[in-house]
Amino acid sequence: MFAAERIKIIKNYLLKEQKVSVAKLSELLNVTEVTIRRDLEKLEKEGFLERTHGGAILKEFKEEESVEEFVDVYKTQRQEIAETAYHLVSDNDMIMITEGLTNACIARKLAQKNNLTVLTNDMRVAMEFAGSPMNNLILLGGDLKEYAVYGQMTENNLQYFSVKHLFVEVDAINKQSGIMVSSISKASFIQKAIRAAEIVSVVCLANNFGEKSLYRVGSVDLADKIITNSELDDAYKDYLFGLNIQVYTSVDIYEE
Amino acid sequence: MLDTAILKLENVNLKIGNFSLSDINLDLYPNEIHVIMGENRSGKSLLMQVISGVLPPDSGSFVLDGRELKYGEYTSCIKNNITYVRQDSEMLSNLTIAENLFFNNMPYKNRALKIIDYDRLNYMCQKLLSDFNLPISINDRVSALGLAQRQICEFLRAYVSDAKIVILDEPFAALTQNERELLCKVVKSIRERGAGIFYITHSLEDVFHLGDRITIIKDGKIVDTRKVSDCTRDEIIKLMSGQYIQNRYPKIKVKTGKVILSVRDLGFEDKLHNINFDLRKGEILGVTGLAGSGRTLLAKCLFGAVDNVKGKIFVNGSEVKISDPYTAISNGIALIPEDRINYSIFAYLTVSDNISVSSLKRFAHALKINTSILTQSVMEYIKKLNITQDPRESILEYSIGNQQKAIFAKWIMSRAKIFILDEPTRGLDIASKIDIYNFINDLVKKEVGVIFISSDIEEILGICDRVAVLSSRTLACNVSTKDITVERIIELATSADA
Repeated sequence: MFAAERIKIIKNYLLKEQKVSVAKLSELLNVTEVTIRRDLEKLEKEGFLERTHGGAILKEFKEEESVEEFVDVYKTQRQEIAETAYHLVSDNDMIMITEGLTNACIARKLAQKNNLTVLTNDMRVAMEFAGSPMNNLILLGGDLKEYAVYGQMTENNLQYFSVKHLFVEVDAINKQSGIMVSSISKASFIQKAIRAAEIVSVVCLANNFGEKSLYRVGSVDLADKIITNSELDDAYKDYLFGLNIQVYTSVDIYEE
Repeated sequence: MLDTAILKLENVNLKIGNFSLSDINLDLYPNEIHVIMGENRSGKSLLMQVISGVLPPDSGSFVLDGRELKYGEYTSCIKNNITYVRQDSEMLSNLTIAENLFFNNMPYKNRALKIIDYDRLNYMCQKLLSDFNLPISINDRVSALGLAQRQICEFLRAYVSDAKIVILDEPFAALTQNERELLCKVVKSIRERGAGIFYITHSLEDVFHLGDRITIIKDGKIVDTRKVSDCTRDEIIKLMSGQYIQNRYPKIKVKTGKVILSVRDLGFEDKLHNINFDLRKGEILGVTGLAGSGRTLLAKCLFGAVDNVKGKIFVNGSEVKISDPYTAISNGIALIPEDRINYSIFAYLTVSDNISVSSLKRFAHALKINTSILTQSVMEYIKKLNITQDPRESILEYSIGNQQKAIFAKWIMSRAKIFILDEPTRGLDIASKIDIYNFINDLVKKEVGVIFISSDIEEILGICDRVAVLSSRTLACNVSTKDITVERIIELATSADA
């Protein structure tokens, strides 16, 4: 097969499927992986796709970027974390998701489940479930601060609920001060939410371990599980295991 | 039982690396069989090394025959009073049975000139062997004996010695009923001649059959010492299981798929028989059992690392004859062996070579390997799997944790579909353990089937979906981890029939 022909097939495949693995293309086109990797490299230079571990994804259209959109440098990490969270929730569960960008990613992933009941104070989380009639969403009320509601009204609202699994996104975790967030209303809300939950999963990007934020939610052992990404510092793995907390590092490496 | 103990340890402490024996209080009387029980790595063998004078304790008192030993006296004093029969044979294989049995008590014609009285030696040995009804000839070399016979001879050696204290370390692995009875008889005879015996075992049957007292040890501490006649089976199991923490293992929920591996009537020599199980995509099957129960052997059978395996193995529903590891690998089966140094790593290759060695085919192009793409790919694994240091260095220079992660990387890169993990976290630092649990999560998320062999029951219950217990050469159970307790697993594992 000629190179031009191969590249056309790869392009068509990507336009249809958004992403593809080297193994898949190699099997499809019956050429070595080395050849495929070279083709992908070429297409990446053209700006058609973005290479990932063991494959490639279609690059989103440039037009969207012209609208001054927030570029998330931790997008991959958040998606990996969302993948883990997806595997901690079963269909029919009653869960709660607090405010946060990673939590919004988790929500997007969880929207693929069936018959969840999801409680949240974050509008972005709520939006992810808007197009998912298979699940029920309950949005708490209260004073809107940026994307989420907080305050006395929200906390009063919360007391009517008890959930099985709570996902709390926090801004920092460190050995001295425990779990930290950036606002007092958030800290207060999370404290109340933890009391209403059976299982508490604390979501935090690996680079925020050892960092500080101003407001303290409580000690680290409030968490039953900590979900983070694979860059987590070894000293924290050791520390958290010692506290009997399950540590999920969301490794994504095996190529299907 | 006489009143004075021949041996008494009081508040003995010893720290070796990051393991310590702490506050050990233990005594032994003449005419006593004192059973020592505990899980693997609970400190039994270390304690016996202290008692046999190999390792002097850091602190505490050590009283032998009513006299406290001073530092520096240990080795010489203990040597004359203690016989330690270890798990590995220590006989000299090119000498005869008679010479071996009486090695430390040779009858001499002339003691000064060390001229051995062979007539007397042969007479003594012949009498000993016929007393115990042993069908071996005194002039056979030890190398001609089977494993069981060697073990019996080791015991006889302890019997003919003058040692007042005899230590028998996990003796009864893999013996037939007759051999066991014979060994029991020898053990009892050692007691009858007035010695005190420390008897290390995993078998509850042995405890009730032989033991006078039992001491249970866990994490380097003595849990309790009791008279065997005052204990029930359940009490002992309870003491052994102690406090377990199962909820600190990161475990994800995965919908399991089709059966990926089926094993039917698998057997090997007289060591494994009638092994049946199914493994599904996305499932983690835990296999546990005592040392010597055949855990590692089962892994080798599935990977084609031993010959003449009986039974049938099906991968994805079709039967495969796994006659060698190459066939196993081409059927998507990967093995991470327990013995990392000898069977797992290529010690003098670099980390990146160790990682890529099973996937080279994928990087071949026009009859050669494209090294730049290969390196690029390997680096991704090194980064994602959190393997530190320089990939160009020899793997031997890496920590054990990093070596094990590199071994995982090798099979992950080769896209194996069935992972057999034999004690994957043994000896690893905690951070590496957590990494490995998370690697396993990634595997099952992507429909890989995992067989997780471990002697750490807590880990098995924390990580696996199902658990199978190897006992009496077969799988004693195969149930969901939700439906079984630590106590039940210990009971199944220790109640081997003869």
